[in-house]
Amino acid sequence: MNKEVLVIDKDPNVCSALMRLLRSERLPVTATTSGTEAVKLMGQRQYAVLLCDQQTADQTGLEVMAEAQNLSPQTIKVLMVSQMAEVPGLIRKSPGLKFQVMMKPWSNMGLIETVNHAIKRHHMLLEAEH
Amino acid sequence: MTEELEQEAQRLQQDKLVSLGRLAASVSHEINNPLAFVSSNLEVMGQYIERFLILLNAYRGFRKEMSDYASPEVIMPVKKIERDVDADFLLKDIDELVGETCDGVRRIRDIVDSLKRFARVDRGEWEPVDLNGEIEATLRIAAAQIKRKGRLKTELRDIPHVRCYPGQLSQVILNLVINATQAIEDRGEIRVETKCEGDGITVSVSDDGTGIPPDIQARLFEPFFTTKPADQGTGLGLAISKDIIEKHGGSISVESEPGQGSTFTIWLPVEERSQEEGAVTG
Repeated sequence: MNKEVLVIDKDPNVCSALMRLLRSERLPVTATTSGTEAVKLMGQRQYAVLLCDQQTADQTGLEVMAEAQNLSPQTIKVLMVSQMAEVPGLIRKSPGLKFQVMMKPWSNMGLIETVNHAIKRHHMLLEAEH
Repeated sequence: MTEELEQEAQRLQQDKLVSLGRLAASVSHEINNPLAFVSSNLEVMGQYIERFLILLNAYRGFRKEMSDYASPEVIMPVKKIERDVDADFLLKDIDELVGETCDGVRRIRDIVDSLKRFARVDRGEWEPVDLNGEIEATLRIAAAQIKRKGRLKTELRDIPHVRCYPGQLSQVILNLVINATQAIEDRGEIRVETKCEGDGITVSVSDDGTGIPPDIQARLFEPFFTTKPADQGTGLGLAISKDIIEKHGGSISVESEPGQGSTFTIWLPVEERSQEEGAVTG
């Protein structure tokens, strides 16, 4: 079962904190600070979950997720935001794009739950296609 | 004070709030990322330490076993290291160290959260609102806290709809109600009232708790002023409340008698205001 998680955040320390946390759950994780790099990675393999901040080094999270939507519609997209109040605006800006939202700072338990749930959803989507 | 002086003072106060709002927005934004990874890492570090302790205890057991068989030249240096690094104390202190640090991070998180509110990106919609309904919903949120401190009496009279950001006003009312419960030492009564007054309406929140000395009353609405223990209040609640009410064109005041309790009263205008006037800058 594919459990690959791709983390994108412009802050390298956030990347390594998330890698550490997900590694402790024995999930395979790749992290990058660059949206362009993330899109390149997604072209090479399929990820179960995309965990993406609204700010990456070179693109907005919405832009990265829109490209992910084209490359791999079955990948579950989770956007990290620092204010709940940003969310309605982000949803308005991206009609047709489906994503989950996670608050930053996150609670470790909540984040692990979100990611595990997203992995399940990814596999449900894959099965529905066959 | 002459009228010009008064206007100047008001303008200065307004400027101060706007720049404070901007400062709050940028500080909370800048702190958010480091806060996110520090608090996450800290928790993971706690788990690493737990595992190190398991390993260390296994080593120590092994060392005790060995001391019966191995020569002193092998055992003594290990014992010396244990003494030099103060191993027993470290083992005793590590839980508290991690615990207190986690608590500190939680407090920083609360402060950043308050700052985010102060910066108020969460504007919501400007709309005519039945404040009584909003108050009832807010009181439900605080129901558990109120119950612990005694009775709640509400007298919500017929009042016209008020144009406002309902989320913000409910935040102010919640804040006043929580403050009221904290002012009651043992058990008491909290009263929430609404009524028409002049061109507007008032909402008042009263308690029969400890009351507020006059010198503190004067400073209550200053940002970061608090009388609560450091882990309970950020000193931003009333400053944010005042700012919100003033941006709605209203006012907030306090009457208090030490030993008798306090009443916070909000006045809000009822006349129609344009969205621009009501909108928040900063």
